[in-house]
Amino acid sequence: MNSAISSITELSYDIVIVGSGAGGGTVAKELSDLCAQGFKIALLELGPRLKPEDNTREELPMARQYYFNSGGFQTTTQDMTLAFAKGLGGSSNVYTGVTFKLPESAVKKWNVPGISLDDLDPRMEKYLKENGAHFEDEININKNNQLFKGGCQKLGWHVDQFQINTRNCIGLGTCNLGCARGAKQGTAVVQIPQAERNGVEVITLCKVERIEGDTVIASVGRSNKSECRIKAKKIILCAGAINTPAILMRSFGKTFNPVIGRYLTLHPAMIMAADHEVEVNGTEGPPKNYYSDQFVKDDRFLLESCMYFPFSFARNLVGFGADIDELVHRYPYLQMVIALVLDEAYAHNRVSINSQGEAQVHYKLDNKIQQTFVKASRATARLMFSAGASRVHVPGASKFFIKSNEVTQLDQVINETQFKLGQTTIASAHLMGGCRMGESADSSVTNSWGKVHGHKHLYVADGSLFPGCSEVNPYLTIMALADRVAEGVRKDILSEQL
Amino acid sequence: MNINTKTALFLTGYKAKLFESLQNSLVPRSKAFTPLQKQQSKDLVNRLLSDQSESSKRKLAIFFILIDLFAVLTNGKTFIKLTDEKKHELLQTFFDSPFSLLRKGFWGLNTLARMGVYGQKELHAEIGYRLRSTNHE
Repeated sequence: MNSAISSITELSYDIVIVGSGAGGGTVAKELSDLCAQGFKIALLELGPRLKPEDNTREELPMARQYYFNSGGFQTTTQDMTLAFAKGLGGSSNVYTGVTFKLPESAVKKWNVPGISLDDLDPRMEKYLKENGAHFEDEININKNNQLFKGGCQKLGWHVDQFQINTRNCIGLGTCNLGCARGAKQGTAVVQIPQAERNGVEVITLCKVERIEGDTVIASVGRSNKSECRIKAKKIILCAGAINTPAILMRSFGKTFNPVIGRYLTLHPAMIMAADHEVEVNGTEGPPKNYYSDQFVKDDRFLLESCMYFPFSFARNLVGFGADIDELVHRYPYLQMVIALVLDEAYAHNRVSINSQGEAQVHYKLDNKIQQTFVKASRATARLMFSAGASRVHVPGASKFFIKSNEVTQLDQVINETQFKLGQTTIASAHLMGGCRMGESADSSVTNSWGKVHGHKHLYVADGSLFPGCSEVNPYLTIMALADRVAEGVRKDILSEQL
Repeated sequence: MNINTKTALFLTGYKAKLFESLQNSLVPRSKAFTPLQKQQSKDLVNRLLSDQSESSKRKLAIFFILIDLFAVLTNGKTFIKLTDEKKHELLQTFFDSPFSLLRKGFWGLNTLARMGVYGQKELHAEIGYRLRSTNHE
């Protein structure tokens, strides 16, 4: 509703929420009943309001519309690409609906007093229900997913189905480009409409530059030229693991807190493909249904079924020349699998800002991560051959195609000397940390209620709160933490009223 | 195609010719492009680059120069004038370089070349990628 501010440069609210993804959309909905008590709440979003009917499902135009840098944001070392979204609903528009509860092992590693499964589980349950999370009926599960499940089962690996949060999904298969039917139950579909009905004002195309005291300084409109100063009693940053730390650094300096931007975890991921003699048609139906956590405990990687569009797929292939064309032209026969490394949180992996105040991501793909990728390549090749593949293409291999008669030589064919950064496309869509929760300002940015240390009116409610990786797809955890932050904000603002 | 006209197009003149030659080696399907597909490929790349930082574009421009320089030093000819075999050899040198910076530069170029080919929706039918109808029941 940009018309609300077209001729006004100064606005005032009780609560301003910056960002409308899994964190911001949740906070907006959870606090929206306060509007009935006279509180004014605004939800600011950098991108536009995107409508399902405007979604053409074309790969490049939709990537440009939904993602920062068209989905090609690179780390400073230029060996990893980060995918994070803009537009009302944020990244909850573009994920595949995969719904995982935070595992106990991750909560234990986080080791934040007050954050426990006892606290988070009821919150996660609430959103499972609210977002229509369900196990897809067997009849709707496509061949690509069946191959993943069958391959794991034949090897005796643990494989399980995850829930997806859709309603009236017709299986268009283009979830990563937004949902053209509004079937995916992201915050733009579920929480934000409810918040708006309750009186929350949504301001799109609003880029928050910085915070000055109790005022959010933003530029509004497509040209980003008209400045808007938005005063608020409570400011809740939900701009994601890259932009929330960047806003804080632009506002208070790069060193206002010793760990601001630090301990970023990304679940670095790579995509692998197998050629089958039968049609797979992975683009038909919900793209992701199964995962295997067989290697989580000892080797720290998670395998999931996946499907990517022609260019997204092609850019993941290692090498160049005729082999690339040959494999891409087998598109309907391809099985695809994604391996996610469950990375440790290190201080050197961080978000910073450059001299223009733009976010930069420094992330080291260290030897341990590279070794994990090699193990994941071998495991994925085994899985694919077990599923009946005639040949597979995985990073870290000494040849473009590994044939099924080479299955006994996988340890030799796929090895660490063949895995080279810069040859393999490594990407991340799970951006976590940068404003980690904790007890003290020396080792964390916020307390366990998301309140920024030393700032009574400032909160964080997004994936940047994670002290370490979530070990699973993070959106449900983000919503649960945002719910907790909203509870704390409510208590604070109501007690200050008295 | 709506390209940001505030910034100069990246692929013009010699850079466009060099990119086309590189693309032909990296993604050979592009050799059979019609004039319209060639233009579409350049447009896709220019459109993406129009949103990138000046620094990124500068790095890419330097990488183009580096490729030609390397071609002249090793073969006495610019990249465009090399035989297909020599082009492949030279690109392999960058792809498998012991210097990660060169591998990463190559990755960026290779990615753009692929985008110019498989980012074209007109080619999707050829590879068997079909969009399911939204009216599907």
